Amino acid sequence: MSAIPGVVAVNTFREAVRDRVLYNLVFFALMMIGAAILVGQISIGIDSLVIANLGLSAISAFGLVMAIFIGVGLIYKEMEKRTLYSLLAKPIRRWQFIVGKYAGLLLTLFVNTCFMTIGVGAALLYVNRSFARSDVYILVAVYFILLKLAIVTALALFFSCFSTPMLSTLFTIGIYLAGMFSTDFLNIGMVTQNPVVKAITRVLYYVLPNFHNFDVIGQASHGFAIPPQLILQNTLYALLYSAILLVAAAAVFSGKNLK
Amino acid sequence: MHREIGYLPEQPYFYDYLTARELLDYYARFFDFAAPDRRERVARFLELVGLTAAADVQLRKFSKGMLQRAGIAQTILHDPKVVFLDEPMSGLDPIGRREVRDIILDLKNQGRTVFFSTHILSDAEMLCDRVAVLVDGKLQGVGAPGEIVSMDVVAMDILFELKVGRALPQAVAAFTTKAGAHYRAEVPEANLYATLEKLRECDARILSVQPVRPSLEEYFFRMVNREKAASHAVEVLAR
Repeated sequence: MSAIPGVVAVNTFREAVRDRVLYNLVFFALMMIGAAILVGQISIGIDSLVIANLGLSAISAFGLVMAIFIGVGLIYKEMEKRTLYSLLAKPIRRWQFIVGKYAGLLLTLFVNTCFMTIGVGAALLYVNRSFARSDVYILVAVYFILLKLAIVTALALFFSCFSTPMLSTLFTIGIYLAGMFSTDFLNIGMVTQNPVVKAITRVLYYVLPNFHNFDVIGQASHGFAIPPQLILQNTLYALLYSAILLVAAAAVFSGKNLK
Repeated sequence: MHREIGYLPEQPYFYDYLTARELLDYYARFFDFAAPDRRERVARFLELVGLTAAADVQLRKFSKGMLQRAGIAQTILHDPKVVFLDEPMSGLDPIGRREVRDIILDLKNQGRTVFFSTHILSDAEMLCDRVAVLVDGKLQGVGAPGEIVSMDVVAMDILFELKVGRALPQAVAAFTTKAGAHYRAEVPEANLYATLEKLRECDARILSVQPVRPSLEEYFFRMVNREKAASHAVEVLAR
């Protein structure tokens, strides 16, 4: 792969930084400081559990908001503001542009998540005075959040190739929520006697992204081990799912009439 | 192919969070320039379009003319052989238009081919070796301005002034309009000397005598009217 997607990615990251997207970290920091002080006063013995749970949930929520709301505008904004026309006259292929925009937002999310993780770590250190061995699972939970964000970003980017930001947001949130409960679709199919419903729920289970497997916040907060197989499985799943969405996005965007 | 062409869209929009230097650097990275060459090019083209002083100002603070100049710089940054400029002079003040005209002439003198679209026909007349006239998207004529517009003199334009108290000769009045403190008479070439004689008789001071040739603009309007008449005829036939 050439360096061109990298050029677009760095510019996308710079846009996020200059548009003060990372200012959300200030709110996150204030929230963690407040939580660390408050939790020490109201909970006995479960300080770190509450901090980890709250911190990881906030990392996930902040990341999702960023992935969806920036993701749906990634392509649309370039078309709307007509910055795309000058760019596509340069030696850049449309798929490189798509990959670059995607990588740029992922880089933004990664940097943002790193800072928030440091914040959670600092809050844990404040309440516990030291790190426990099981705190490493918190890092695994953060890694799963990043994998989940990679899929959500790809979804938002895919929709932004052919619909308005408003619709893309609705589609992405809808698929995210459906993906959180995709295992339930399978269960519905198992209890029903109707073969059509059974087939539909089965298709939905395989087609929708399975976000349920990425949610290990509860386990990590309690210090429970996360099996290495799950790490491998989630990594491969996120890579494959995101790649399929990116290929689809590139195909849609390549065939798009930009007049 | 993209390496050989430069393109400036109409009313270009760029990433307004970037400075002019960052914008050019960003676009230059799509070509295979080594870092020192890239930096040198960016500085050189900023200077060429007169943006060196504003190189580190974010584009959101640029005027329309400055944005247009940044746009032209990104168009020619990689030394393309063919340059497409869509309405490069629209919305610019007279100074901006003059600067853009000079840049286009520079590119022409460097041996590059410049295609540009414009509604300002005097610019086309002044800059182009060849022009194509489009009306409603249909090609009406193509060639050198002197080829598609007849160079025959259609009239003579006489600019003159009258002394206080002197009346305009009646034979001349029909062709004459007042232009500020002066008078302007447009007469057929055959009547030139007779008109000058009448003006001499009333002690008029002749300021200039110029031949009137059809302009590209007149040619364009003739084509527009022809197109309108044709579409009207089609409408009548259809009824």
